[in-house]
Amino acid sequence: MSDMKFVVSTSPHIKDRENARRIMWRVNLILAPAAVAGIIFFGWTAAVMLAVCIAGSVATEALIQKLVGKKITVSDGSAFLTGMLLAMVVSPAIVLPTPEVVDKYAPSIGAALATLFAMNLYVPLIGAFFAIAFAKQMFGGLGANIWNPALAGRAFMLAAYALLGTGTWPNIENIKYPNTETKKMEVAATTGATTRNFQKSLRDQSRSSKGLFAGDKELIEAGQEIDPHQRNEQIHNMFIARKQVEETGNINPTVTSEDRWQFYWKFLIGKRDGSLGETCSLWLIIGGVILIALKYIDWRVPVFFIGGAVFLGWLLPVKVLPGKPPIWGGGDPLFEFLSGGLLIGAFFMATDMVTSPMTRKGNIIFGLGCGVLTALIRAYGGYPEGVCYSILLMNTAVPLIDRFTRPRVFGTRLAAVGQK
Amino acid sequence: MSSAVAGNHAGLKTFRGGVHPADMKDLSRDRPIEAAPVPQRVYIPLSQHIGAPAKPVVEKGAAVKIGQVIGEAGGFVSAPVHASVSGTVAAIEKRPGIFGSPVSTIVIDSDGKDEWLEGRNKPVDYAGMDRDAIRRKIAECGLAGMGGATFPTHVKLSPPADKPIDTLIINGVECEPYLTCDHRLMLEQPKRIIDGAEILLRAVGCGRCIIAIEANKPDAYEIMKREAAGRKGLSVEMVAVKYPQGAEKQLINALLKREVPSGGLPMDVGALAQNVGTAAAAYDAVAMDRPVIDRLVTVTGEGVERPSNFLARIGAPLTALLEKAGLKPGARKLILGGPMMGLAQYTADLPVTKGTSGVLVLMEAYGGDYENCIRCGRCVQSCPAYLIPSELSMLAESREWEQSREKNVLDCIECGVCAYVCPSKRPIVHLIKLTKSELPRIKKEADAKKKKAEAKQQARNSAT
Repeated sequence: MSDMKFVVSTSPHIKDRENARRIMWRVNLILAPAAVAGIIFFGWTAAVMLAVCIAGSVATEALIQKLVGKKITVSDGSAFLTGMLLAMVVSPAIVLPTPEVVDKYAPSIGAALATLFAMNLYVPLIGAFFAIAFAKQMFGGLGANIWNPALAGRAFMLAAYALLGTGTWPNIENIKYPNTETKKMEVAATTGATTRNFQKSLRDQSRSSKGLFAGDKELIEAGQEIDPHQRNEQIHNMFIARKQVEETGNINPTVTSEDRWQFYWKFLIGKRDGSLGETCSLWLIIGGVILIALKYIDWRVPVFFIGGAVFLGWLLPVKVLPGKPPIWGGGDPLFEFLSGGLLIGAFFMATDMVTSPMTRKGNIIFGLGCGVLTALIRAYGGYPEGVCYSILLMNTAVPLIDRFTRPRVFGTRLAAVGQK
Repeated sequence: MSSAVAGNHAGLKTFRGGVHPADMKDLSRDRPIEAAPVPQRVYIPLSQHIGAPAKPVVEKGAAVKIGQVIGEAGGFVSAPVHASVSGTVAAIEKRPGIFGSPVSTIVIDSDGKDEWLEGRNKPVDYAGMDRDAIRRKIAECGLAGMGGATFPTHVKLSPPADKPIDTLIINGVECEPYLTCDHRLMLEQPKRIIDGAEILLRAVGCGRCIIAIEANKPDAYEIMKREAAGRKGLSVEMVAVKYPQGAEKQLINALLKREVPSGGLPMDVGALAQNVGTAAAAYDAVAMDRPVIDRLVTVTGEGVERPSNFLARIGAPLTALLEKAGLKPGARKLILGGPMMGLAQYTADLPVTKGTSGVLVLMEAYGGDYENCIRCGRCVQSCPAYLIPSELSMLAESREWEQSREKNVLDCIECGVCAYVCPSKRPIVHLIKLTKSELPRIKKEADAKKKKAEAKQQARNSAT
């Protein structure tokens, strides 16, 4: 026995079984059903988008790590997650093959290849490359990045390929603006738009000096009373009964409570427009709760994020009539909660450990900040959806938040230190 | 994982932070104390305690009896060492030590007679002994903290006059996984502990004593409660099961809601903690005139066939204990202490010392590659000293020692909770220990530099 040699290392000599790889793959698993829902609702383009984004992310990471001589760590599941999230926050319409392009190239290279070419696969590939190469590996790999790579990739794609960005629904439904002259609905743009886009455009129009409908300005100047709350209600009904509005041109649709619940129900289970992965709200909520129960995410981030965004989304003043003061509390909290990227952002993206604060107090500030910014961008900003940018902006603030929420070291506060 | 402040966990008192590793105590919990056979040869290090090593007072060839002083204290913060077998001093030489470097050790060959020194190990009437007499006796008997820290007990019992103690805490928590010797001591010899606690109360000169026991030892709680009933000033309290509930500062925080100041000692908040084994040894010293010549050691882990709680002589070779417990071939790690804070050893060629509470043999050795910090915050939530361990580990990697000092690295109690929870398997405690060892070195260099600059300035001044 005296000649037996033992391994020497510093304490502790036992470790908790949890490791980064296990956590990442479990998150992937929990997120996957929402992605699958996206494929079910949007069709094969969604599957292509997911495949390209994931493959692009993983390949980029492996390539860069090989080039700089680091250990290849793609098996830890984080590049996979980035790719999946990136695909889930953009519209699958990006890879919808444009028929004109297909027809143009089919004679020379064949229908299949022409379709592939017309799918603009380079767009998600470049997005994935940017996300991993610039927003993650350039900082030093997992753990060293400041910004959420998937969101950075999406922001890059949106800026570089503005027309192809979010807001396009594959079964291209054309947005129809109410024409203020003829009081009829007309096609305004050839790209489709989501319900959020539609709501935003209605709101933006009503905020403008001319008002939502033709003749509003004149009527008000002539002294006619139009109840702003009623107008707000009308706008609500318009985007709830959007199809009806667009088909019949009726700008004052009747909306029963049955219609209302149908609307919200569709938004809950996913039969609605939006980005690839944000539609199945139900699963995103369930998945988020599972993540909290497993203690993989701190509940404070999604709760304060969603709470802040929904509350402010309801509260923030909106001007519905020109020349009249805005009304407070005119928002639709349930719509704010269920639509857009709020749920996927709050549960799966803002909660990314690397880019969120380390302390519980910090997480409250972070969540609140994201929620407030989201509501502000949604209400007053240039985009109908504010989740992406709000998270990126708060990511920037994280080192500062961490600094201001440092825990007080044991034994350093006089009040807590004994009676002696 | 924890409450926001020292509070209640499942209704029991606790501190903020900590973790719940599997306690693994069922391996040896039900094994009654077993006296290990008297060794043929003992190896007694002259330094088994914090402070100056003892100075040998015997020479090679000298005949010694059990309880005879073989090394006298090397100062106030020191402790004497005594022969644990009767026989002949075979050598005084350097042998492997538990910290990795060799230590001066007195080797004694047993004559097989196992005889005590004349007059010692007999009951003493100590009713009339005053504080100083008790403390002198404790010092003379070589007591050092039996929980593993090995701080000379008589020093701990002598706080300066401006730091009065109002509460003595007897620590029966034993929060390290695998270890069960304190548990068995409480089950089998509660009277020794309680009598010892009363003696310690007299030594300190305070009136209140709380005996703290973790909730995973309900049988010990009942027995100790029964034994302590009717004893003036003594109470027994159950605390939540959490590691490191038995860490001195955390225990004081949980029981008394006081925080030992950063850089300070329990006496700064009027508290004093002693292990149950130390309390029992105090009884032996004062009531039985019996110096420290043996102690309880739990030999356990997946690497032994028969985990046991041995009563072993100080200086007994670990190899004998491991053989009795059945060391398995293929065992990879030998740890003195528990799995969270114990010291891993490269060899079994070591003796039992006053601080050996456990010998843990593991079949698996963790190590190898680790990843970047992913800022998950688990270490921050669990650190019982409320530090940011991930930051300290990254500062150490960048060799920013001074920044670590500013971020309170010296307040780290090295409990291991941070490295235990880290999903990236970062060796945080290792990096913190590295930082702590670098700080005095760079301070010395900075001081030397400063001295040199001052001398130069002096020379320049006197030259002009």
